Amino acid sequence: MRHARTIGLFMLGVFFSIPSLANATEQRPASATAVAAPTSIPQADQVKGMIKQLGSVRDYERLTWILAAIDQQVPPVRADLLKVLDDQVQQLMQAEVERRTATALASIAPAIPGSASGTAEQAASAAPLPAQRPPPSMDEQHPSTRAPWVEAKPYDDVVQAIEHASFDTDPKIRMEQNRTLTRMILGVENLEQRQALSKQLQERSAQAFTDYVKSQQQMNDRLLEESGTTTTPN
Amino acid sequence: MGDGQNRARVGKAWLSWLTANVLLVSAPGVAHAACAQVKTTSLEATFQGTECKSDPRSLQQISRLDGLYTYLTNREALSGTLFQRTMYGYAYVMKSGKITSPVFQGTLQSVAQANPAGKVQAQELRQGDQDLGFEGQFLGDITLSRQGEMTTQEKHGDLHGPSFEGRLDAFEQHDLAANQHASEELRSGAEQMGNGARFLGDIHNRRQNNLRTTEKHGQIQGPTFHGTLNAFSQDDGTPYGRQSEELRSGRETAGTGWFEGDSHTVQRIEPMNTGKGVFYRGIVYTEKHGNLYDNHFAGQLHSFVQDTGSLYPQSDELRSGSERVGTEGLFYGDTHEMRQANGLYVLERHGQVGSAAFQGTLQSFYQYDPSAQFSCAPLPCPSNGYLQADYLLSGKWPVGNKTYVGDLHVMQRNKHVTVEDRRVEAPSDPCNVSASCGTIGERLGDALPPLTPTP
Repeated sequence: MRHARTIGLFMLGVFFSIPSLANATEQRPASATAVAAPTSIPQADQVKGMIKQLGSVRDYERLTWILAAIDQQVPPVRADLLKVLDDQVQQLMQAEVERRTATALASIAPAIPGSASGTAEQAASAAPLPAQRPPPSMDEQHPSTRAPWVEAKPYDDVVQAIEHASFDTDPKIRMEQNRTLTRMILGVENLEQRQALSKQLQERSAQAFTDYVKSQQQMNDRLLEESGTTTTPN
Repeated sequence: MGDGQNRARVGKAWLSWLTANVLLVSAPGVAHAACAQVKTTSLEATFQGTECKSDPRSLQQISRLDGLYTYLTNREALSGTLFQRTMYGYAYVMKSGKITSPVFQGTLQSVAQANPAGKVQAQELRQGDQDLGFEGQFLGDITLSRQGEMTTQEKHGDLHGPSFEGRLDAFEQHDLAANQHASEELRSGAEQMGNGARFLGDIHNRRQNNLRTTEKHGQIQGPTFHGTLNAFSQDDGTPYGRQSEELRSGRETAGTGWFEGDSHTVQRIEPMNTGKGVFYRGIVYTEKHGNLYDNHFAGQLHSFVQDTGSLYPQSDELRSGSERVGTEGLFYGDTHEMRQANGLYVLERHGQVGSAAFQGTLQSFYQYDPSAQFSCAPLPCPSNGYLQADYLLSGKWPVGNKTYVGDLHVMQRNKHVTVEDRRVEAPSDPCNVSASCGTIGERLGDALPPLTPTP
């Protein structure tokens, strides 16, 4: 083996070719067109250009050309070009790994009811390559705190729904209404907003009941007034 | 559950209170006794400082009592107004005021009526502070209702307890005649999960007779895991009717390091027919996808483990990354490790090795089948089991000032080891003297993150 990097790049190819890891639907990249081996010693810029065109770590023909070209350079230029190639390969690998993790996650996600939506994006952001990205903070990883299986409800819509609820005097009907409203609250994105809406519902519901009792009391007072004789107990 | 007991206690107290009051005005004798007898005492209640207005000439009895009432059955005291009215066997009771009892302090508003057949329709709102025993204190509104044999309870407020702190919205319905029960509860806040872990998010509990389900969504902040939890669990009340499923996304401690990614766990109990009868076994299935960092390995991990409580859990694991092998070597590549329920074990590696003794590629396949039978005839077999291993190394072996290059193939079949050595001495290797090449070991060293994992 001429030098270690050749092995490294070759192994990357092997890694992505292992059937158990590879996605069955993967296609050989379109950029893998025939690239003739360099006939004369190419300029460093020309090699860099070719590296930038590398669209996949499985673009073997282009890789072979690049490696052959790098091999013919003088040591300082070679080191520089190897660095450029290394960076490019790292980027390609990261993209590949993220895409693959997303696929793997998407395949398990539907097991949780309704969690399929948005999993690919979450997975992509949650799967950095080891030493390259610091672990994301919980905020940026999960901007939404709503349960993924609950239908999303805009905050303002729920505010309006509570404001215009009828709060029936029949306790069973009223409970069903309140239960429906409470489930709507679950669909609001923000935890603090959900808690505030729960409070709003509590206040409105209690106010409606108090108004009902008040009307009953007024009726009682009137009945009492009309009933005539008053006896005060001893 | 303590909450259930408390609910039952409050519900029972409320029913007896309601019955007491309706009976008080509907029972013959008491209703016609007018204010003089109503004011002092009855079997269920003691009234103090009452005032009463009534109309004895008509069939109607209407009275309004203001003062302090103590209900003996549930040790509840109401300071406020009691309105009673009877007409053609119908009875109406209304109450409002401040209420104190061993389990509740606050205000009360209630409306109740009973028809001549004794069918009760009532509802009340309590606003205040309820003692939920070890579950803590509930501060908020409780709405209770009864329509014949159907009772409902609704709660909205804040729960402050040792295990949960946050909002509570609860709905409960009992059909006493049909013995049906349904409840739903939403909690939004912080829950202590034990081991110092804290859950922040929503908990949705539902119950339909004996079937209980719980859904959880939120963040876990704990000593062993930080991240998102989505969980579902179900219990149908039978000894084998429990199952749960959860998906965690985040970072968890794993051995000396940590795993970051997604863990999906399913637990259930399933029947197994052995031919001699059916028995039940618990199954825990765990799938992980993410990155693992510890003292031995840094890279991607995909693992699938199924544990049925048998001797060998079934597992299948793929690791891609840098791994320490031996004392000073590094392996960079893919490892596939598998164990099946019958004990079959497979370890497969494809990648590069960098160490002082060898630099190059490694392809290895190791398989041990403890249950395999093989022929040892005519000698008796010492034990069952079959081991097969193949190691193919291709690269260079620096030995002193010399370097050997080529392939080394080691084959093992049980205790028989065969070595195919196709190595030759290399004339000279420019990379041994040129610093610009770097060694494989150095390159692999770059790929490994620091050995001390970031917390």
